[in-house]
Amino acid sequence: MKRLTRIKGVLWALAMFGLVAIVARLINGLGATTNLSDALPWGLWKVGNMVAGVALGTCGFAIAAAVYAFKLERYQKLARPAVLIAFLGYGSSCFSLFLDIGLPWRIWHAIVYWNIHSFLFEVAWCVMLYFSITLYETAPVILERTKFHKLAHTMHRVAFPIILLGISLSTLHHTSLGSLFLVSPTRVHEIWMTMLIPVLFITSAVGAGLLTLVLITLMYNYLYDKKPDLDVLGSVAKAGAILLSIYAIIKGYDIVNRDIIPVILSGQWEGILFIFESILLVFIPVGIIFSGLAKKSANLMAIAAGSAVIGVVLNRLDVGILSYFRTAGAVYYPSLPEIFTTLGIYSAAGLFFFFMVENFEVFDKPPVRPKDAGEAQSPDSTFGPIRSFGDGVLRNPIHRYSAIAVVSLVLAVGLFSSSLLKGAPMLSEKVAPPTALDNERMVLVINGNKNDVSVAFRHDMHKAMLGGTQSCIRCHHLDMPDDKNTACWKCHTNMEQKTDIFKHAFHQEKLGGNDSCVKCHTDTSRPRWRDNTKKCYECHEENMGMLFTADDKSYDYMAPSYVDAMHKKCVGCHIEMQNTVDRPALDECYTCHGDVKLQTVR
Amino acid sequence: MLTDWLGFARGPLFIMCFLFMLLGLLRLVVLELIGFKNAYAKIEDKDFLIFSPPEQTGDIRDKKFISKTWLAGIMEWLIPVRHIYKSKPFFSIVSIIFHIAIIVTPIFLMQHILLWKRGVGVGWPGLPGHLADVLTVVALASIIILFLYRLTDKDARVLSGTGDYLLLALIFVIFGTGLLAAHPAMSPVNYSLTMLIHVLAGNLSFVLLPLSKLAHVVLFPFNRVSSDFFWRLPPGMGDKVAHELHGEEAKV
Repeated sequence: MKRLTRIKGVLWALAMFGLVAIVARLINGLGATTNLSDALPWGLWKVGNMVAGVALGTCGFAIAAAVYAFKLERYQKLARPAVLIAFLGYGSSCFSLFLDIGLPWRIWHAIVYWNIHSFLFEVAWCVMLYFSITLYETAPVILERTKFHKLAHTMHRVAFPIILLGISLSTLHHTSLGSLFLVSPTRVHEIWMTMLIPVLFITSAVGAGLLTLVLITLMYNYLYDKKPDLDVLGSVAKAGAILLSIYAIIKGYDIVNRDIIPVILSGQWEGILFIFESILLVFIPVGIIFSGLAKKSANLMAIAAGSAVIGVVLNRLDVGILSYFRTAGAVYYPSLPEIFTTLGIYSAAGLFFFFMVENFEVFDKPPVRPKDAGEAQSPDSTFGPIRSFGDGVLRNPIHRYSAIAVVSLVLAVGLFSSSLLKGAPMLSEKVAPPTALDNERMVLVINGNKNDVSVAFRHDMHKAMLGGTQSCIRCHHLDMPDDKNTACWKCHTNMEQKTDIFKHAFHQEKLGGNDSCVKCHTDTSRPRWRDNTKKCYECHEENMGMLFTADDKSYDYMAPSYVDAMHKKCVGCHIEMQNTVDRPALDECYTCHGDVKLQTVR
Repeated sequence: MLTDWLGFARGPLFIMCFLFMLLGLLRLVVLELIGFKNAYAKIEDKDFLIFSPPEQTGDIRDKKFISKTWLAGIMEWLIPVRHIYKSKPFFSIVSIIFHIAIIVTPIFLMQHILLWKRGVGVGWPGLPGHLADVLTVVALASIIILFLYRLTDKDARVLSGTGDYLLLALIFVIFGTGLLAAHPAMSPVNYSLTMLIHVLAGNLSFVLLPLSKLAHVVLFPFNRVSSDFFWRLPPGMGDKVAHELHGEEAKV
């Protein structure tokens, strides 16, 4: 029981991390929480959860077809777990898709606004309908243990046509998931890009899906100390291996037909990845299962099944994410919130699975878990010492998992706090001073972040036109102490962000430590706060007095970003001057950014 | 350097500690309610001998009866005028003043309210600065008196563990540094350091709230119901309790 307890503890922790990541995504949006880009818009959620998740859930319709359509009664015992796995696979897929689309609250649009030319339209409808069918098939498992057990029987009686519908829907949308990639033939790497993708997708999905059922059944038996029926599981595994072999044959035909063996063996990382993927997805599982070893040893069967499961997930990640890297000229790697969302969704599905098998008849009649001696089922001691996280207290499941949940939620908030609490992580680039084109510093090249957008600023011309040496303060509006006509970049030190130009600790020390507070915070009747504190110019009149006006709130504490400061100062003056000097285009972008042919973007 | 640490302590660290307190206390209440429900199920089980028969003490299975007695108990202890003990009235009164001071001061301090307003946009009326100072000094004085009381009084000393002294010391540090931070001219140490200690000690108290006996801030209603209500033993019950606990050979 200890390993089950530990696994559940880890799943609870991951689920809570995922929950915080999901909240962060819903509050701050995709840009702030994911590493998706316009070049690589398909990330971990769409491929790792959605495309791979439904592939793992195929056992539902495959077993349903075997039991209900072909009347193979010996697989009856696996029907309920298979349907539950399908329900969880499709449920987590739908939820991931909800998070992955830019405007999650429009997830229902596919139902109302039909775009019949889109593969995604077909995928959306099939996944939606098939998810409803798995829900219909799973519901009786729960209902039969409640007072609605009669309803469960009625649902069971009329289930046959619905199961048939489910089988056809699944077949349809697995092929159309593959078809999605046919619309970008130039972007998917040539090893994976073939017109046969739809067929490859459904054969590998059903093959690996059956092995998912085998793996989960073996894990159930291991965790709950039961003996697995290796005979039946072996037959299921064999069916999976046959489908994977068909996949291998079609893929082999495709490789030979398109003559891409040289590409695979060329030493490109895609080729090595493809070989690795094929070993996991085909060679290990098919080898172990067809050699007959799997029926003798549960461990070997688990290795074969686990290899196929990892292989199919890797295959989907290869096709959906990695194969785009070379053509996009960019690399995508998931952000922390993305990784924890994926893990969290799978963990929540795992916890739901444990809940179902322990409380309802999925594999066996509950209770499937012998009660542990040290484990009280419910808190007996009402007023007992639950005030601490002490050892004995946490033996109780509710106490233990709630403690894990609280601690991991708090840690997750700490981990994601930059994205969760501050919104999009802002760009922050340090400003470089302008460079002079001539000895007299008559023309200055202003390019704070040294990118390809710059302004050749004619300092001499501006000085002459605005009134010679008397005009300095029109732009140089502040002097730093012991400096005259301080340059822009000395205060506006960041390209995109406001920066603090008031050093509190410095002033505090300079003015005499703790006794100095009252020198600026003169109003002792209220808390020391910015709005009842001396303004900078009250002490620094010689530096700041020149441009100060009574209503001016600026020149205190925060300097705007370099971009904002320059645009505001230059464009503001250009708008004023364009009528005076009769140059109507003076406020256009290209007046200063001569090389950038932009229309007025303001 | 010091200001960076201060920024971290009252930024991310504060958020984590405060959230831990909220979730931790919520967890304790939920668990206590679950425990209460289970105990209630046992009351309905007639074999649960410790409870007196209905005809002697009123029907314990009557839900109205339970909530009425419970609520009365909570209210009685929330305004503990009737419970100023005759044996130690001075310390009872000091304890009540201590509770009022340490609850009212941090919640209604203008400086704290301004931070809430800046951080989450919610503010509420606060105390005038002088009153807050007085309350802080009262809190500090009452902590010293209660600390000495725990050390000197025979009964209190037996009941006190290390944790009780440390928690009092922690609250003393929070209020002491708070007072010094509000009046830097009085402070022997650097303002930023005072503030850092204040914030760190405050954060520590948030973490300790659900983990220590400080949890009584949310659990006191349940503590009340256990003593005032569940343990109403009819005459002759002592023997039965002893029998339950020690078996046949018990001698009371």
